Amino acid sequence: MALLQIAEPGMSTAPHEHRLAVGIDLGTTHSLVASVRSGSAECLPDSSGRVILPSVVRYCETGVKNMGEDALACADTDPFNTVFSVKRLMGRGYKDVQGLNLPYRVKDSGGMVEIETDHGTKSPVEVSADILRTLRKRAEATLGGDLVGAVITVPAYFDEAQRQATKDAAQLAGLNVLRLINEPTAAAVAYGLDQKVQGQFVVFDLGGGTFDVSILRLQAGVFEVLATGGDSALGGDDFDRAMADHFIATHGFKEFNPQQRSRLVMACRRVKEQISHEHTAFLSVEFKSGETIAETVTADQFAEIVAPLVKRTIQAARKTLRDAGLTIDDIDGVVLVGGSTRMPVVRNAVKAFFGKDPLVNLNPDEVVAIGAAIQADTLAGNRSEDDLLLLDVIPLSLGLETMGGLTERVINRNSTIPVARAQEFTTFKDGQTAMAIHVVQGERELVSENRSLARFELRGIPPMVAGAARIRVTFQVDADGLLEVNAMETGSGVSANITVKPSYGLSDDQITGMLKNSFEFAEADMNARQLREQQVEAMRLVESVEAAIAKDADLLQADEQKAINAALKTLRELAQSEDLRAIEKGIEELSQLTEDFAARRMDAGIRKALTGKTLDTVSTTLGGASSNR
Amino acid sequence: MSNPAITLSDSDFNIFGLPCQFELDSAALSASYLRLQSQTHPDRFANSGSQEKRLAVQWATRINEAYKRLQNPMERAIYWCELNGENPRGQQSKLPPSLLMQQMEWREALEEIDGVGDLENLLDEVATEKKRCLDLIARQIDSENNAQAANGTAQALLFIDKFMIELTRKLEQLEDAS
Repeated sequence: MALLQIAEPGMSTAPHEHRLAVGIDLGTTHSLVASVRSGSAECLPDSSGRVILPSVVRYCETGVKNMGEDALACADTDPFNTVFSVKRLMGRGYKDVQGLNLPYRVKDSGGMVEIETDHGTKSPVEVSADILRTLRKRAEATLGGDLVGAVITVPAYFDEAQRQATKDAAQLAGLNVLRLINEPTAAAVAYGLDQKVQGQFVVFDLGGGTFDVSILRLQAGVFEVLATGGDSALGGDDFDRAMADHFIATHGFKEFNPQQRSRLVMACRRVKEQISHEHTAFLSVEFKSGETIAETVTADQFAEIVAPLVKRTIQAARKTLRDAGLTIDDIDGVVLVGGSTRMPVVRNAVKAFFGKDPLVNLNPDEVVAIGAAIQADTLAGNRSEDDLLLLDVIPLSLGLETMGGLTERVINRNSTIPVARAQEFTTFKDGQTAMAIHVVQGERELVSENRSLARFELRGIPPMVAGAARIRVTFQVDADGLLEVNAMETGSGVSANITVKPSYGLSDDQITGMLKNSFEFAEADMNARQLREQQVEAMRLVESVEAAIAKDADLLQADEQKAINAALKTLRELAQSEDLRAIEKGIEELSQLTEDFAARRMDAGIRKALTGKTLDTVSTTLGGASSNR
Repeated sequence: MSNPAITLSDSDFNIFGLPCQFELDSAALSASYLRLQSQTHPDRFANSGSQEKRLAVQWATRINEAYKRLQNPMERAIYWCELNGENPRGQQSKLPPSLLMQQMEWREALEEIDGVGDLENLLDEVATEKKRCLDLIARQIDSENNAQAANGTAQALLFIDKFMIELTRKLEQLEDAS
């Protein structure tokens, strides 16, 4: 039952119109898209009524692709061209993915990974973009219009490069990313809003290929992540593989080609699923060579095979609890997320460790997408302001390489984002005019054991004696968890700046190139797209300034308001035009004109926060600060 | 609007509307934090122009920085010293000989430790000393308003804190190995 859509969606000008926004769970084994419709979030089905899209793409003859179930059906017969578990390759280097034993061909491309199909090479970002595009089109068809944006979930434990790769994929799929949010946080939103809970919660999220554990404090609509941990290379897939390896070993098979392996892994997955609700399952695989495996697997036997994997999840939970500065007694509830938490062996281990029955009332497959949809709805401006706020953290420490290949931490893991920190360094040689800056992520002392994120150089330092230069390196992590690094010699003001991506990600040029190459965006389309984006941006700015004036007109002098009104009128007209440059100029002018106003509003907001009272808080010492200084 | 605007360069205490002192009402701190973030977080400006978005990132970053510092008693004390013209992280002045002696004893004890239990005992002992220093610095700041004395205690605290981090790391290693 579709509602009549009056204004053109995505270009809407009415301030109270419902903006179409979605949440996307881009998973290792499957992906979902959800949206808030008539007040409640739900997963959107495809034309056959299925909400789950297997994260599988099959590349056929040039240009033709099979998606989801259709592609999955071919995994056996066309292993080289059927790409699954691509999330495990996102933002990863060739060395990182050696142990994965994927049936398709993965090759090294300047440190990055590429998938070699019979019909051309694909980067993991492109494959993910194909999945996201399928979901975008599904959403547009279901919701009846263009999307203003999407919230895409990533494992909390995803590093910088993996996050950036995800954002790149979204851009390639034609999605405006409102925010990347962490999967466990999304799950907590879905649970928290549903149940109006307060307290400290653990979200234990074991998906197909990743494992996350997050600890959150929920109070008065604020979701504050206290600590997060996990393993970005541990998931249900590993349980399948552990079982396959076990049977390969016990049956003494020596030669095993990718096709055979893939068959066996699939069979093991079915056994795993069956054993989740029965005591035994029958594993039966017949290979073309005539060899067979046929035997009964018991739940106990399965538990023994996967015990080391389960142990890893519990160890990570213990560590995260410690990072949060909490003990098991402080935990009010445990939420299970991800299809792999259906395994009784996992549930029992969680229950034994936390000493409580985990919450499982929401569908673990859908809960992340649902939470993302709620947040997308909030960010798109469809909900009231004070509804919901997520305060998330960075999962891994960020630092720099110093002398001797050691890591100097600049921002510690579990810092609440956005966060910035500056550190000072100096030159170590007389007359040194350049300094290499190597940005790394991870907890280890040695740079070589952490992930290299980016390298850049600060040049043009005036020659000085060793130790005299003062080089200030600033790290800024934004609300998506993405890093920008700036280096400056403070005496001379020479600076260099980088948004971290090159080591494993794609450069902006590469993305533009991919966009141009994909036949969805021919050259003419690219220009049209750019124009449309600027038109939308112009209207977004107009709406936001108008909303600000409606709320805080008292912060403006009469002449200021007059000037702003004139600029608003101009930009509104320009937004209807086809003149890209003029629109950009109009946006710039209105932005400059409202700079002071924006600052005054922020100040007013802060004052409001300091004088504001909420029912559940204790009295504060108001005004004490000024009198004490 | 008679009050001057609150700016990014205001003190942590001022931004949070708290008195500039060591003792702190932690419930008031966290209530202020949540209200401040509700006003300034970039998520509140997802539909705004780039100007406002940038401002939101700056403010939310500044508030996170201040919150983290105020939450941690040692960091709060050091910050108070800095606001009062001292620099505990800078040039180390002479630490009291008694503390140096104790450090040496602790280090010797650490050498001989081989079990989690021993390590936990030592950690407790060091934590007790840290607590004593925090009580001392509370008096030096709030009752005596003596920045110079507080500076000395802050330096001792930094020393102790570093040792505790070392111990905790060692404890994690032992636990992970078991």
